[in-house]
Amino acid sequence: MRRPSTKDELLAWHTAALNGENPERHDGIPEAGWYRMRRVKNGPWIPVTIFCRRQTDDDTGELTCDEKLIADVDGTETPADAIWTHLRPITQEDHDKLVTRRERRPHDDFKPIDLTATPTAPRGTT
Amino acid sequence: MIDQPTGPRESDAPAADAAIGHNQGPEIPPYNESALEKAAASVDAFIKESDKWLTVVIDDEEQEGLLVDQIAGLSGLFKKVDATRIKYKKPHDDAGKAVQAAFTPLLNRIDQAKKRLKPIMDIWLAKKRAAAEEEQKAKAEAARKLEEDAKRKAIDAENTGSIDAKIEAEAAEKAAEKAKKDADKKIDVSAKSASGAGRTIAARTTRSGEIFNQNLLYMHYKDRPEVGEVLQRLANADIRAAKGEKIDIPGVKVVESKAV
Repeated sequence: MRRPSTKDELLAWHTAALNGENPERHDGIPEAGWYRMRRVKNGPWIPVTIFCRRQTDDDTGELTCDEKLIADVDGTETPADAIWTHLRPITQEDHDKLVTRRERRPHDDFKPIDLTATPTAPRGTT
Repeated sequence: MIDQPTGPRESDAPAADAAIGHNQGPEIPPYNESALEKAAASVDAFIKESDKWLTVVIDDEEQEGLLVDQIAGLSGLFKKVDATRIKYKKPHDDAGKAVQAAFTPLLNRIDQAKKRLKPIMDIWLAKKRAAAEEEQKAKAEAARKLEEDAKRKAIDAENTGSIDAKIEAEAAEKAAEKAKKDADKKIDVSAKSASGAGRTIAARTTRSGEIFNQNLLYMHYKDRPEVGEVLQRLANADIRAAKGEKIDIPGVKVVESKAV
């Protein structure tokens, strides 16, 4: 029987990382959870979710194929193993705040942020 | 035929307002003007935006993040503008250093020479002073004798009633006064120039205190603000050195405050 992984099992690594336990990170073996990454040095943070894509039998609930970990990089899907070593674990709450922040103040992801180029106005004054 | 030198024509006469050097053009600043303008424009923009922040009360994380970015932007801009300042100042700093390096050794040599000659003069002036003081003592003694003599003559004149005696007494009194004035003159010992062009050198008397009881001295000055400032500085230094650990300093309560 190929039982689907539970939520706790999928998020075990991520939970341990957030708890400061420093779990081992293996290149090419991503773990589910919420993360952030940068495309370039000093570039803006980009929210990333690694979720599990699977298919199960409606009657037995067993897996009908292998579970796959997919990365959702700011709304775009990409193989998780390719970016795994660039990801930093964050809470789901921080991930969602990051999504909202990016919607309000978009940046070019491929350019470093230069806070000296343009001053930052208080909300509602620009 | 020899050409005769021609004198100035009327149209050759210099303009009334012309002066040597007036055609040199405006002074060129020692920095790139467009770099300064660019920096000024950035600063203007940041200050204008900072003014908007002055009336803001932070009440959520979004505003908090925006203010963090504005403060970081100001810090980064400061570094950029300062780097530009340093870049344009460097050639002048280097030139100043080169001038100092060239001339300071000469000044040091002169200083050293003066320092080594002055003690020679000090010895001589001390001798001169000692001689002047001796002379002063002798004058004081002579003046004292004349005063005694004048008093005696005044008494004689009083007793005899003689006109001659009175005249003599008055003369003796005048002589005694003159001698006293002379003896009371302040001793001025100085060394004069041989050529007349050198400044007179006088020995300077300097006075200083030698502490023999620090507690008494402290009590004398304890109400001076400078004393409080020194004590505050010493206490602050010891508290900083304790790095957060408990520390007891008599008369001092450790106060903690936080600022960005």
